Amino acid sequence: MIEIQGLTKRFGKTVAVDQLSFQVTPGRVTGFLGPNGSGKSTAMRCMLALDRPDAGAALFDGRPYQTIKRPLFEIGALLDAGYVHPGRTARNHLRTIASSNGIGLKRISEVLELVGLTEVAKRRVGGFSLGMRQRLGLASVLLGDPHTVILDEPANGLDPEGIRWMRDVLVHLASQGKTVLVSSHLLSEMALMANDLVLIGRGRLVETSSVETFVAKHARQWVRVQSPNVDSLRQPLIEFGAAITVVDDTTVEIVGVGAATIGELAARHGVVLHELAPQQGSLEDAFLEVTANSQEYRTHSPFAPPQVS
Amino acid sequence: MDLLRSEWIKLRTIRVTYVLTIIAGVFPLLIVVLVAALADNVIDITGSDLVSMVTQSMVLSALLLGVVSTLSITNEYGNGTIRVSFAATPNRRKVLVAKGVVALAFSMAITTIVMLVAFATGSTILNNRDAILSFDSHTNSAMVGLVLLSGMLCLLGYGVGLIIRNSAASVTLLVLWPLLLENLARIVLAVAKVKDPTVWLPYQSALRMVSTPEFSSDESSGLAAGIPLAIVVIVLVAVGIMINERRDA
Ligand SMILES: Nc1ncnc2c1ncn2[C@@H]1O[C@H](COP(=O)(O)OP(=O)(O)OP(=O)(O)O)[C@@H](O)[C@H]1O
Ligand SMILES: [Mg+2]
Repeated sequence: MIEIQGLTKRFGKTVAVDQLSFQVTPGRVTGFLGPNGSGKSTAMRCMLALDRPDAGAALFDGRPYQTIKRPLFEIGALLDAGYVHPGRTARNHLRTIASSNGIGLKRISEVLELVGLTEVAKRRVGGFSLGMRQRLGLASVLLGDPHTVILDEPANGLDPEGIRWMRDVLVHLASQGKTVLVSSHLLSEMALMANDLVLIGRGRLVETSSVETFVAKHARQWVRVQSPNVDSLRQPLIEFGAAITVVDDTTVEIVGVGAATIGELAARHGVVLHELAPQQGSLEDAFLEVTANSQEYRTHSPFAPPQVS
Repeated sequence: MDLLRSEWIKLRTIRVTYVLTIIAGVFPLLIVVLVAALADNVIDITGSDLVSMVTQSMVLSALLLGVVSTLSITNEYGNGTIRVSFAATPNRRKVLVAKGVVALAFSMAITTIVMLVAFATGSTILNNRDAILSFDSHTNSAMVGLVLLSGMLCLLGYGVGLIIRNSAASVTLLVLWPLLLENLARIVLAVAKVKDPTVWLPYQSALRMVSTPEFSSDESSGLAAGIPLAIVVIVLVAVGIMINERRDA
């Protein structure tokens, strides 16, 4: 369980993290979302006591990170896969980390095997691709078999297969009851793996909820109807307050009226239905919807993402 | 203990440590071998001459080992591995003290070994050429002085690295300190007519630790001459650690 309470971090005049509070629960993957520069990485550095916050705290089962003696056994963190000395071999890189917490060579071989880097363990990290470095980073996270993992954009640089693998690892960790906090830009990825969402904009919390609630609340919902005489449905639907978009001669998309109501109307008017399918926008749609609506975001940021209208 | 091991692994798994250490070892050996083998009137060479040759040429080695310790910290900031280190051990002071201890032990050990090897090699060659070498307390003091100087230069490099964090700037400052800054200061002090300028020049003063009496007519040679530099480096490292405990990593 991670609790973030009123976390605030300034860099000169920039407020990178602003009064941020949220919780991360065990047994679930929590996606940490926000546009570029919204303060995700800074918040994570503050959580790990790497950046010194100006106010607030991050508590791991009630304790601040600084008070944990051997954190590798409790909290595994991967902030940036680039944090390696290019001249060290993969194995030696892990040894520098593991030895500080008294973790031995056997476990290093195990985690290298887990992430599939055994064959390149003796190669210098400088020659590794970004994807290999992400795997190495994940290996370092797993060293102490921690109950909490924090990852900053772990899918960055991975190929589709690698992304899938990373997703499976994280979902597996959560299924073992571990607390998993992962930031990402890849919203479609988040939709596949996250159970909960923490959405921030300009350092502030915009929303936190489960993924289903979030999508249900923000994504567009409509019903797709296919019928040989779809025109006969038009008038009754409009009377019910529906908005109708014509897709082709036999297909329409209906907003504002549920599938059940449409089915009943069709039966009452003797209209044959070939398809009656409720549809929902993706997490990505919902995300863009919310960030576009986030006021401070639109007015202050010169780097706001393209607006959706 | 675990932290010392971790820092030792860090130090010995990067190439620059080897390159600089090899240069630091080969350079004085080469000088000693060449001089001992090629010098003309061997009879005139005393034990004190040999020791000074070893210790004086090894000041450069000590400086190179100082660069190793500077890089041991600035490289971590450069690559971002310092964040990995501090995340694994949130008590930063322990990490930084362990790193300093390992660098210090490494510098002093390498200096001792190279010095003894150079000395043994030099005296073997000279003995074979029928030179008569004798040693006294001054020559012993110069050898101990060199090991201490090497420890201080190591901490000087480490302290500068802790405060500046940038490899190029720290190494430049470390090398310029003895070569340029103190010579400038000496000129300033001379202009100001300060009586005993060397007291205010910690590095120049510390150099007297490695000289045998023939080389310095000065009264104040001996190990006490290293005290100003010792104070400077201890303060520098302490300030460096304090700053790094507060700053963002
Ligand atoms: N060390 C620093 N010094 C000054 N400003 C910083 C520093 N680190 C971050 N910032 C600023 O803080 C803000 C938040 O940056 P941060 O990297 O935390 O965002 P992010 O959400 O991780 O972005 P991205 O999605 O691009 O990784 C940005 O405006 C950034 O410029
Ligand atoms: Mg980031």
